[in-house]
Amino acid sequence: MNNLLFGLLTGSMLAVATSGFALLRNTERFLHIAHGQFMALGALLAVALGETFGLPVGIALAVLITSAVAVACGKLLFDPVKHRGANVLLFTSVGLAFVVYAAMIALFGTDLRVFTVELGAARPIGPFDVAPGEIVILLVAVVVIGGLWLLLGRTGIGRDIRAVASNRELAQIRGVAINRVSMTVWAVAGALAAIAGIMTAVLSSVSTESGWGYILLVLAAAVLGGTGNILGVIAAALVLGIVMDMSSLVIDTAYRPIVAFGILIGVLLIRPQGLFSFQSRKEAAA
Amino acid sequence: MNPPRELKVIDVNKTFGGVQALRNVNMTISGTGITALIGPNGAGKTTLFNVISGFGTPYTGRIIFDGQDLTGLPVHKVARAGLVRTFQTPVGISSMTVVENIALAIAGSDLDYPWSPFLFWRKDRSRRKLAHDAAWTQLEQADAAQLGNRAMSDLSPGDAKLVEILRQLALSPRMLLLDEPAAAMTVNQIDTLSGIIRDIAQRGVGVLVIDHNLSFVLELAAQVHVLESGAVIASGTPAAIGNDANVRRIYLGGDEGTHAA
Amino acid sequence: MISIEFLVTIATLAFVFAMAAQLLNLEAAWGGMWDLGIAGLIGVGAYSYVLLTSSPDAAVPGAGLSWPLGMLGAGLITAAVAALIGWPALRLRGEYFLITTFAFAEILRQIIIIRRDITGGTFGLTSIVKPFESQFTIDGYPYVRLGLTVLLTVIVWMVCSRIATSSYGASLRAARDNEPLAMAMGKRINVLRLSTYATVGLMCGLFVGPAYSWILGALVPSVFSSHLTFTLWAGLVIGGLGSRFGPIVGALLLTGASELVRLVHVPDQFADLHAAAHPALVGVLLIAVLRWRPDGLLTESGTFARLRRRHSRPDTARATPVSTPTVPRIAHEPSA
Repeated sequence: MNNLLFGLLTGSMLAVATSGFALLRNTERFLHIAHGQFMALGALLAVALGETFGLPVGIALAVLITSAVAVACGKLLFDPVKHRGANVLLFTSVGLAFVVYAAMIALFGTDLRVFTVELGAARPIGPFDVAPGEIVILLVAVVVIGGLWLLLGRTGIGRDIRAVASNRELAQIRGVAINRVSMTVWAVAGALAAIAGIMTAVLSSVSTESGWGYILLVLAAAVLGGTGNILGVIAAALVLGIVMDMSSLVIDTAYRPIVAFGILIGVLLIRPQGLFSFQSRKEAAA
Repeated sequence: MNPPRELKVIDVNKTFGGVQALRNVNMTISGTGITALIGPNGAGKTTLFNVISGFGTPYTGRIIFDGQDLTGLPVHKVARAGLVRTFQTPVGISSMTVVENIALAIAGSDLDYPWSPFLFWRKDRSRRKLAHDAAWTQLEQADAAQLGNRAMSDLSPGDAKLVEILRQLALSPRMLLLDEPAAAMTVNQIDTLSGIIRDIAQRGVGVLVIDHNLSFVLELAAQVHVLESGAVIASGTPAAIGNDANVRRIYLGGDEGTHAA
Repeated sequence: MISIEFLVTIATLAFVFAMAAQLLNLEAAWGGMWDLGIAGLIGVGAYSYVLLTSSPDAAVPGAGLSWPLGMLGAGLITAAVAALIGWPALRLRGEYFLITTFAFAEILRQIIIIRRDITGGTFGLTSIVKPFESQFTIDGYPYVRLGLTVLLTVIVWMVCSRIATSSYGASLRAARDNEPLAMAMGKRINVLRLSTYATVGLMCGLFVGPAYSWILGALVPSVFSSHLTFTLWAGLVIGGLGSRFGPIVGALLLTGASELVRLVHVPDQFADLHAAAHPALVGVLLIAVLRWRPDGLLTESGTFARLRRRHSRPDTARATPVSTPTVPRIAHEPSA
């Protein structure tokens, strides 16, 4: 039963990360490979700043800085080549991933970093053994995703973002402030990446190498969730997290990533458009 | 003499996104001469075309060509059976020049294996040379040699259509399916096009044409089938069709679809 | 002080990457298959080679075959793995194919880590059989190895070049440019693509994997991560997708530049900066090329224009530049 809890935790971290990724994919229309590096960056910044300024301030600063860096990259790196198509953007993101990776090595060295924060002792709550820290993490995830939902659903800028996501050209003609949408999306995605990275680091650890592993899972969840609205992606992330951790009841934990990717491949073969999308099968497969 | 290579469409039904696009369509298309398929927008002409050429499977029914059952076969098998189609937007192979496009068609597909460039290099090289030369000959015969070295994207719409037909013709089809060949063409270009299509038919290749341009199609075809809402409502010679009450009803006054763009 | 040995090692590594970049070029640029799993295939090739050639008495026992047989065996094994992966993966298009190959590569890497009884797990394999090693001195051998690697790169170039100019290559590019039309011209897309993917697998196992293992001190699974895949892609994009020499130029340039940066001796307190220099350079070069010369240094249209001039009629008009999808659409937004 605790595996279910772990699955929820993994899934919620993945959900936070992937919703930022999906936001970028739907509005800027490319796969932002560097997202994984931003997650690691946020985590490492939080650890480092937390040691100097205390944990809450450290986390807040880390999220802000990562968000700002994301906006800067969006404006300086991606906007100038946007007209060249999704593939140029994809590889620019790959380039950025290398640069961010390098920056992290330069700033933080190559050691593994751990948050000096106690999760607390695990206490039985219902069928689970939960540590208070874990509850906090789940709550954070809920709050963040809830906030995202409110942002997209209830605010003016959220409506604009959804308009751009569904039809960018039409939105532009209708006078939606594309630039403002772009900046907001980059800022939100950067913040979400940082938060997800911090969540992961709190529960286990983070190193400068982590980014390359994160993007794999994020891509998996994003593709599984399909190109519909963010909810699909969140659901896919939760499913992925839960299945990954539940599977360790039956098979060796070392096989966790294989399970995740095996599911991904299996689903894609049966339903190429992802679990939760409305695309037709024809558009996704041969 | 073998019986003419007929294309038989038998009891074909197809649903498309909740709409019945084809209802019990039955028709026999002669293996010689020119047959036309007309009908208003949404009548199902394109759907039927796609089903015949393998870009869609009928829910029920059969497609028989020259005695061979082609129902449900993948596109490349239909093409190899001799039933070749053109595309309405003649984009072609964009990374190759016009002559290379045609040469690709002439060269055939038997050397399309990864060992072919190594085990059969001489054969491959001579095949390519022959195909290349033959492609130039085709272009010259069609009075289009000046297009040979041009990029596909560099062609006027009329020229692009011509190249589209020439290339698919170079596959040595037994029946050619032309998808809206006259779309976006000037009156002069349509005249040239009609001439080319008649030549093709005279060479013994059956032709099936769908188009919205009624005057072009009725002037060309020996046999016409009319579709409306997925069903065949009339079949016959152009004259007979012109007198058919149902057809007149659809083409009130005969001015729908008779314009040339 | 730059030592000659170091330069020789960098050069050898650069040529290994040049080999791999060419294969990536074949499947991605000419074949239209955007493979994010090439590191996995190279890993299978390397591990197969080492396990086939290791002595049965080694810490991780091997089959004890000679190195030519080992290369051949690795080639066949990797080709089979590629065919197995490709068969389901190629039913998907665009970003779905991308993520599937990505997933498969990671699965392969995890399997290597998990089955440490066969593969040595994260500790890796250290007894690597290198051709002609015993016949040369320790000082002389790196040159032999470099020569061998360059030879293999040339062979790979010849194979890829031959494919590019053949009917098979033309059909492959036709399938890439306009799949419905290629089908309507009688081309069997599945066979074309799967055979290309398997061929890439074959050459990864026959050439790239073994050659890479010869310069590694130890064969560890972390080498074959997405980091390698992206580095190879960077080299390919920089050198020019779809050109015959571009991948070689790009890989040599990228590896040379990023490794040479490491030569600059820095005091210890800057050790981190030092380690950061390599990926920083890769990233910056990639971003810069995409910004100012997105087709890469050499282009596909350039390559085929040169090849075309050998065949075109001398008396007709000069060829106009043909539009080539040098950074082809992978249908990120799935479209017809």
